[in-house]
Amino acid sequence: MISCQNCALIYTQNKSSVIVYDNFSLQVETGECLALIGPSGCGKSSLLYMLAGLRPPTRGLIQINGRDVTSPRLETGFILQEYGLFPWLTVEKNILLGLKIRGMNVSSPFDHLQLDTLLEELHISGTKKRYPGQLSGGQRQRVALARSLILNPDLLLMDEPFSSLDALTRESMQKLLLSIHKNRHLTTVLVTHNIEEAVLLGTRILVLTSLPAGIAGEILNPLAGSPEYRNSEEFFRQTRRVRTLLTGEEHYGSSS
Amino acid sequence: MTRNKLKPQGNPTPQNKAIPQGKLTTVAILTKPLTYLVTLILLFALWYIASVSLNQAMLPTPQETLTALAQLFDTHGLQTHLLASFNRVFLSILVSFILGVPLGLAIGYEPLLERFLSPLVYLLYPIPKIVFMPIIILFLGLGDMSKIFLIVFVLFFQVVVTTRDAVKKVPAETLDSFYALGGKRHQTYFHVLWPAALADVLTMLRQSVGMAMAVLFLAETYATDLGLGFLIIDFKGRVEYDKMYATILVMAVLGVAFFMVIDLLEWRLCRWRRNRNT
Repeated sequence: MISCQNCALIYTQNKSSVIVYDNFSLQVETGECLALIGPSGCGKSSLLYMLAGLRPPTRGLIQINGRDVTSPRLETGFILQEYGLFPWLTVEKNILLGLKIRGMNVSSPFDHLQLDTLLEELHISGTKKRYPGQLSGGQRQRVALARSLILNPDLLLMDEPFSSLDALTRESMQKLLLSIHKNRHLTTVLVTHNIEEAVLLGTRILVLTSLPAGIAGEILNPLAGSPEYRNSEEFFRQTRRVRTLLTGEEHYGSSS
Repeated sequence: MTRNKLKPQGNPTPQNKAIPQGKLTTVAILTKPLTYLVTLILLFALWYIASVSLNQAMLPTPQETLTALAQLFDTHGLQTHLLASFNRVFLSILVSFILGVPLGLAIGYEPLLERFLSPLVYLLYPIPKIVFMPIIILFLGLGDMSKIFLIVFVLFFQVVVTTRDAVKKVPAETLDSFYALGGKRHQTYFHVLWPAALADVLTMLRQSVGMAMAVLFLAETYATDLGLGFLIIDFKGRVEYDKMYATILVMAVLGVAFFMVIDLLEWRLCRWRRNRNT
């Protein structure tokens, strides 16, 4: 379980300060998929960086499974907006790097079997010896996912993971994420600026306000979890609710 | 393609659509030596025309120069001079690389080091190092050490500055991604900063070969009797222009050879740079 208690995050640059969070609290249950949505620059990504242990809060406490987070946890997988792949490493080496820097023997048959299974699961078997620069956006996203999953994380953080993908690739990646979340019961916190994506993927949706970021509203979305949900009446109802919270105005008619 | 299939759906870039990468590489491999050969023939033709038009001893024809070159190997021990010059440049490049890269990585990554060392590098970098040659000879003598030191002195700052700048270009997201995988600060040097900077450093070294050869020439004209630079000045003094040109030709070939070796290293070690779609 993730617990963020009375956290403040203040960026200081050139003697001026920007308060991103002040007295912010949040809880995420194990196995939950939390979608964070809010206006641009409201601190959605900063929250992920705090949870990842990459930006310690100025005040307050972040705990995951009862342990304070002050630096990156080995059990947290973090997929950044531009995927953070290393262009000089092949797909195979990118995926195995996490194991390597943790001192594991990456040449063992077990690791390679695990790698091959993962590549198969993510439909990128043919890209093993290629470099990130030779891949499409969707393939890079899958490699970034594989790189996190091979470390068997208990928490997956994703920062606008599908924002630079075309519509069809985005849909296929959303389906892939849903199946991974379902099969691995992985606690997931996802930042997105896309309302439909938040409703499709998030079992809970947190709508953030402008800086200093607060919670404009919280929507429980228990029916999320399958691609078919996209075509249901409930999906459209939920997207209208999120849109209303984001804009502060009532919207009538179709939300698509 | 149906919408439901979980298949990667990235579009190939226009250039990939036009020419498959394999074909492009084959075409390049086949045409590259031919292009160089044609350029070489053109250069020799220009040289020949200039020599015949000028009709003076100080510009012999390519044939006269090549004949003199053959003689030089037999009578003047050109190979000994070539080996001495080669060793000086090779060791200088190696030492500059070994000393400059780690320092550049550290200055680029450690804010404290940057604060203290960057002003020093900033002040020393633009100074023409060649003016220190007499002082260096005073301290290190007339042997190889002073010549190697001088070339290292010139290249070292370029390696440091290029490496530092390459480190600064590494996106914060790449570093965050490494830390998020569990990478420690000291591991960043080997796994992120070094590979990120290597391509830029090799490109810089390749471009600096010309300068290294120029410094070598100057260093070898100063109180020595070994090296291609010495030989060029010696033949000039004896008014043996064909031999002087033959030695210049050898020095040029040496420069090109270094250039090509570094190019090859860059090609082998930075494979990812030539395999980019985007």
